[in-house]
Amino acid sequence: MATGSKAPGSGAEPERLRRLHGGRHSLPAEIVAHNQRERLLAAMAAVCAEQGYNQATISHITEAAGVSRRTFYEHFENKEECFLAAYDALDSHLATLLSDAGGAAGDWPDRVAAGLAAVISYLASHPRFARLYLLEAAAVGEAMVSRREASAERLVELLREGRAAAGRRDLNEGVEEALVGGIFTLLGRRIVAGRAETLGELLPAALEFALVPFLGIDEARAVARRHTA
Amino acid sequence: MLAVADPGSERGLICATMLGLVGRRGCAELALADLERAAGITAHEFHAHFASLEDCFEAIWTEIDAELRRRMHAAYQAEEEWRAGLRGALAAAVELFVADPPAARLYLVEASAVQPLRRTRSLEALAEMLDRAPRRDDLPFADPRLLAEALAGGVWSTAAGLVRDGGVVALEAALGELTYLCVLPFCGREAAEEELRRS
Repeated sequence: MATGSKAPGSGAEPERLRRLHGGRHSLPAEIVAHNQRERLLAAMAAVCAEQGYNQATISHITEAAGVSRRTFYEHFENKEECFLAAYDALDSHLATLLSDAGGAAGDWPDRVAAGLAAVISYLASHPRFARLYLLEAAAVGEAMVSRREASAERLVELLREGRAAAGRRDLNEGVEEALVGGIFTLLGRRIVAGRAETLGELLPAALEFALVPFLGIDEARAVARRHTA
Repeated sequence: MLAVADPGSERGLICATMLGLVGRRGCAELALADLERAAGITAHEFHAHFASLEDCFEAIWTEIDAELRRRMHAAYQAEEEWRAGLRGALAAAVELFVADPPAARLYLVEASAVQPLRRTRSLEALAEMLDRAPRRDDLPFADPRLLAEALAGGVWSTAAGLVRDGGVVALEAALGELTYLCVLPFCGREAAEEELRRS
């Protein structure tokens, strides 16, 4: 169970994020600002899902969030900054999910299985965030490169532990990076196909794929079956 | 040289200029005005051939993709044994990119930034070859086609990272490693290490 971070919109889909009622009210300014920011981040994901990042405009985002352009610019300088904030919030939440799931499991293969299951399950239940995270981030440019590498590196590190755990220190450099790239591609293809809500179906393949270089095919399949059957 | 980027025609000149600009600086900040200036054409002349920069990008990407598939399939079919065919196909892909560094950047690095669908399409040819790998089906579990797609995605993302960080020189140097990645899950460690030693 994740406890240390919140995804944009506190895990809610944008349409469930309620506007605070207009007019005079006694809510502290920081609560109003927080609510607006959360709505903008969730709206960013919704607009990216509909239009793609390249076609998204500030007007699309403010309309989806139900805030004015002036409010948008009180929070962000431009579209890219808003996207980066949404990505960072989501990335932080996924990092917590991965860490919590891995920490609760036992041996290395079980930690990999629990971590992948937690991340994939979350993305499957939040298709717009899945698209933002795995597809649209590639469209943002240089500012995203180091962020995407850092995101991948967490899974790379988890897989790299398999060298010691499975006695496979001989594996060539770069294997873990390729495995993570492959898993992200597999998930991305399902999102492009418009079936993000079925990402969970890919867990057996993702898990077997991730474990085979370390455990060999028989054991990798046995672990994958145990965790996904 | 790609036929679509033959500067003998106005359309080819536009594509060749686009390829050069993308190869040097990527396409994140590229504007139509940059292309018009570099190619020495007007907006009217550009729009006689393409609806948008994306449209021009698509035309170039599509030709690289077709040429890549053609060369990879020819190399694969030239060998009887799966490993040799795969090795040949990857070598053919690397050879194409080394001969045309801007095409490598456009196809491997920039395409997913312009339209996510392209990157997922680009790995189809490799995934088809990986799906023909000798494999054990006595313990069927995950869909073999999904495993092939994941592996192709891993190889392509590795290639994209190499080109982004080190150019086609880095890609050429890593041919053995790319083959290693493909062979490891199907043929095991010893066979994979043979591929490393070949390079």
